[in-house]
Amino acid sequence: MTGALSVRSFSLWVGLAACVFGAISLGLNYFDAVRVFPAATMLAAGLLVPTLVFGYALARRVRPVRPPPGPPSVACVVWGMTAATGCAVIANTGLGAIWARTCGVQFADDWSAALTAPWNEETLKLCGVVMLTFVAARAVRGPVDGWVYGALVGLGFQATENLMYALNNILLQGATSPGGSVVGSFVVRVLLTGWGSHWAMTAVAGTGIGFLVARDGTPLARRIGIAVVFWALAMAMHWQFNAPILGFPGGIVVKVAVNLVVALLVFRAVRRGYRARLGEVAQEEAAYDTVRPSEARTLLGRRSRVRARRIARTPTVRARIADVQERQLDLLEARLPTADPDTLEIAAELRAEVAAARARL
Amino acid sequence: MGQPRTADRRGRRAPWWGPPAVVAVMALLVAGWPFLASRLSDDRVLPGGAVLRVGPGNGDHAWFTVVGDGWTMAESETMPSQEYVLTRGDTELTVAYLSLMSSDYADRLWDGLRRSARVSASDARVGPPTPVVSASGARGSIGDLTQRGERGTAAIYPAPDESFAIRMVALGPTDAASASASASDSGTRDDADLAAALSVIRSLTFTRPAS
Repeated sequence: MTGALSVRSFSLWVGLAACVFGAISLGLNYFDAVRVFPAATMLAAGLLVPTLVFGYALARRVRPVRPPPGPPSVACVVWGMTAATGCAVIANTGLGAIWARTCGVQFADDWSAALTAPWNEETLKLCGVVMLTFVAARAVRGPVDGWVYGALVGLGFQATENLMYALNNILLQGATSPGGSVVGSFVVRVLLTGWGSHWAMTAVAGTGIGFLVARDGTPLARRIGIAVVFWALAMAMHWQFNAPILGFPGGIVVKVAVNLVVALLVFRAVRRGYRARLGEVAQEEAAYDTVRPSEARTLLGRRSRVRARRIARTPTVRARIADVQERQLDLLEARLPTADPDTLEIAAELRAEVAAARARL
Repeated sequence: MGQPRTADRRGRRAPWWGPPAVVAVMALLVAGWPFLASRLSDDRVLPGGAVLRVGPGNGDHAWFTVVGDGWTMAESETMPSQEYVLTRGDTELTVAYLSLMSSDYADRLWDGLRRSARVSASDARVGPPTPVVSASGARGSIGDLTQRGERGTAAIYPAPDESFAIRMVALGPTDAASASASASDSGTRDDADLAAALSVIRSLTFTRPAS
């Protein structure tokens, strides 16, 4: 346990250092633009904050049964906003230069974005999900968690990148209307392409990490293979998004739709498996009287849990019922990794907690 | 209520090599690509008389001619659809495509140039614009520019329909003028480079030049 804690602490410090490094990299690259265009920067940030809040709430809301804990969710967004973007700026410049110097400026102009960003950015974003599995191991129990946390990392990346593109757009338009350039960038990168951008790609890649860390009895080699396939799929999504293909009017809408559909199809598949497995565990727990058959029906739905709490007349009792429900869900989710040697011991402790919480009713 | 949760307390044992492996992957991307790039030559020699096209290629583009020998193109900083970075001696010439939201913004180009220059250098000073007509008849504005101990010339050519513009900035060592006064080789060379850059600036055309 001491060893596990030390690796966890080390991971936490490494993650913080990466975020600081990324933030410094962004600062060095964009300080001058912010200095010259402070009002436009404020406008860009002001437009992005509601986007970030909306995306954050949506990503956490779509997780089946209950939202992910707040701290790891925020950590993922921060990783995407700082470590991943700050490192990507440097890595993309380096690889982009290699394309230009080896294949010529015209080839690099056409293909550099498609051959650089998928590799660098999908890897750097995914590192955030991987780091999360070291820092908060129980936060990522399977593919559903990988999808949600991946989406949150991608959301953070998208937010910072949108800010960067807004500032770049000012200069690309000759600084003739900084505010207009920011709004134009917002319309294109948030309202038009935001639906199938970084959040979707990293959600898919994160799903692979969810499969990798899920201790469901699948051999490690196969889990690694699955994770690599999802990582490659995310890179393919990014490639088609950046590649100079589908140049006809409306082609960008097709690209966005492809990414959105792929991300949602992956989510639908892993959500179904997650709910099915949770339902099985709930039924099994009836034997321990931790989750009674009547509770099993209501426990897996947000609204049905709220309805179950409403039968209580006082807020105190409602809070105690909510506590029982949360501990029951802790138990069910802890039992998801069927091949985790610690599961039996943890489940026994959690059953005792459910019983204690029930006794307080 | 208020009890610490077992689910939060317990954690899967992370491998000790996990965080260093992630750091290694990130370092590979952040340091590896720039290192590999630094091992490759960035300069492509341009022949005198070469005609280059700048702009995205959907009709919004212009051409300019590399006047004189000795010009090289910084390949890692050049994207023909957006910007060229050329150097000759210590003189650097950038040629950038600027998209305009509408023709109403064309009269703000010089003011935008002033602000854009301050992004490159906080001490950038752009002089008042004077009209310029390129060899092909393209009309624009030209003026002096100084920044970070360098001096040079900036020019803006709006497209005939004012849907986009081309910005051309040439910068060289400040001491070139004084050096040339003492007939030093480097001073005259710097002046010659800036003069060559001015010739490139005056070569801009919005109609395809005869090959």
